[in-house]
Amino acid sequence: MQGYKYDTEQEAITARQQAADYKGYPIRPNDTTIYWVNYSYSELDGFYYIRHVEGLEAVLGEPSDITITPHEEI
Amino acid sequence: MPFVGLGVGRQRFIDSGGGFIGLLDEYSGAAAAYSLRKLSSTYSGDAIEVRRSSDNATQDIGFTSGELDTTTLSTFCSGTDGFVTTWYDQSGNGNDATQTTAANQPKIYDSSSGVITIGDSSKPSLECSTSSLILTTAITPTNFCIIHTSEGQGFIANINSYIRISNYYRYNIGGNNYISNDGNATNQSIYIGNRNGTTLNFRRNGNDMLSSPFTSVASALNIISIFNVSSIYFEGKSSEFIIYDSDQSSNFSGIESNINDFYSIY
Repeated sequence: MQGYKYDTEQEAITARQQAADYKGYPIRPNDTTIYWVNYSYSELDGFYYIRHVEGLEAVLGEPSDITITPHEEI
Repeated sequence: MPFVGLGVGRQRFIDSGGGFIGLLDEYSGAAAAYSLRKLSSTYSGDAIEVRRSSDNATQDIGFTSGELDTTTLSTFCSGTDGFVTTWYDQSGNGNDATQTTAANQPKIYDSSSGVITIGDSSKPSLECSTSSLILTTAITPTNFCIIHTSEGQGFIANINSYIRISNYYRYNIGGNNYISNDGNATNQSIYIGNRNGTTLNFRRNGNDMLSSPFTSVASALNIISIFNVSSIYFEGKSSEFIIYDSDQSSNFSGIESNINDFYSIY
């Protein structure tokens, strides 16, 4: 998966806000949509990450390969 | 109460007076219910709130003749993509499912091909890729019945307990796996997961796929999603989720018939 990796939740929150600000979300005060992308936490890997979407590199830079350990796999 | 079916792919109506009868009128008591068709005669709200990508404007899309008002949807989204920000709860409990992150919102309209559809019936559908919708209020059931019609790698989930479809079904609740011996995630199907005390049932298209002893305590259900291994996301299409916080095993057949009559799945 291409994305952005963060050691702390605060770093992920900051990146999420930078992306939202870049896109201008929320567009209107009462809009449901307030973020462009959101972060997740990989419990088994111990880091936060944001999945790359098209255009995100303009605000967060070039993404890197991230490997997420799934909770359980059969 | 006399019913007159209007043929495959249509909603049910009473013949005298033309009153609408939905699935929730026949099988009441849902804790939450989300659909792109009208499910209840007493529900007067909209189906979904849609954001169009061209200018991020939003509009509620309701029903016409018991089905999603695709004319209004097409007009609103003409020439651009449309995404679902809110799937309104038709149960009467006001437990709407929302997604505040644009990248995780299911798609309902494509700028080139128009309204997203599912299955042979070509009924409107949410198309999901890394998408999820979050319930306003988590449901914490003891017994439960979760019904959905979906296509693709999909399931209904919450963070700690989930039902998974990925060429097989799996419940993972409280760390215990419950795995079916059959599964077909590539075609639109009707899925039912039901817990009654210590028995867990899983059904697909009217057939029992799994019956397993079940002793774990289900944790709160707070996300409608379809599982993608590394994250809890939709990966596929879905058009209906109904959640009961009670055993519905006596209604399996009737519920499945209601859904199949509309979507022509099997």
